[in-house]
Amino acid sequence: MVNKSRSLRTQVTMAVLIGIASILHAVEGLVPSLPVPGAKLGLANTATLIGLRILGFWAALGISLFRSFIGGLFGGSLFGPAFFMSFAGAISSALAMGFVSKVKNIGNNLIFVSVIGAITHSLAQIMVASKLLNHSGIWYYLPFLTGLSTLTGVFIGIVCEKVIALLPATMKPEGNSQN
Amino acid sequence: MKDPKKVLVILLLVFLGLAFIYGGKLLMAKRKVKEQEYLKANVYTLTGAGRKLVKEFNLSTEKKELYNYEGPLGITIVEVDGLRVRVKSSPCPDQVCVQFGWLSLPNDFSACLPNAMLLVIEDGKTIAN
Repeated sequence: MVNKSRSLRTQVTMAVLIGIASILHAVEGLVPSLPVPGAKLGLANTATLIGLRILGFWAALGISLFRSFIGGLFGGSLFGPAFFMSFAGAISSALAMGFVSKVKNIGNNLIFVSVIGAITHSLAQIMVASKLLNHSGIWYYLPFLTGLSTLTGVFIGIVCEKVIALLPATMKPEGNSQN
Repeated sequence: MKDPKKVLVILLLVFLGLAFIYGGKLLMAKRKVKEQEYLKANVYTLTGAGRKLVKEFNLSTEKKELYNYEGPLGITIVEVDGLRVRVKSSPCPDQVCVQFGWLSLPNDFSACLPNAMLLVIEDGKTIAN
């Protein structure tokens, strides 16, 4: 793990993923969300998920950390309340996905990992929002958001599987040949 | 993708998601205004220490009013139209508060984090803090 994280290839891959994630994060903020105000597809999470699969847990955590900072900078909401919501969501979903990917049998299933990440993301955001707003009415959204994030999680998981299948062989995860 | 087990997992998850959305909708629809209960629309400003009431409307059928809330980014316009209220326009970049649309049930809310504003419908018996 130590050797791997110091290699140049890992650093470059991580930088590219952070860049992609930040741009997706910023672009996604411009798209209005239809069913529930504030709900998003979670496209920025694809980079975290791909990083988790090809580089490991610490890289994925780093990617989501940096992308919420850089994405916040792009969107002009750095250190505002909206930033803390996206920060909490990104970090907690990276942690949850890292944990689930270690679990036997289901850890290899990207769709499942992605769904867990999406649900954790919305849960963390609701917790931060109810703290920020000091209003418990927001908990009415929880089942709705959970269902929605299951759907978007499935979608993002499928996207990630397709993307990883298209990656060049040098970037493919090692010792991982279930596809 | 051809793996039947994987397709089953996907279908199961999609079904679970739809079930949760349906349940959430039922939960939201359950909140009904009780008879003889009058509603208030409260505009709060969000500070680091909590929220502070800045404006209070008693909702009644013939009330029509525009209220300008001044936040750190500028002026958010709150529109009261009879028994419903909404955020009409906001200077924030993401416009989430406008997307909440019309609010008419107790505990309905619209929040604008960039402009530090919270609009909540409360029933008249609750004591505002």
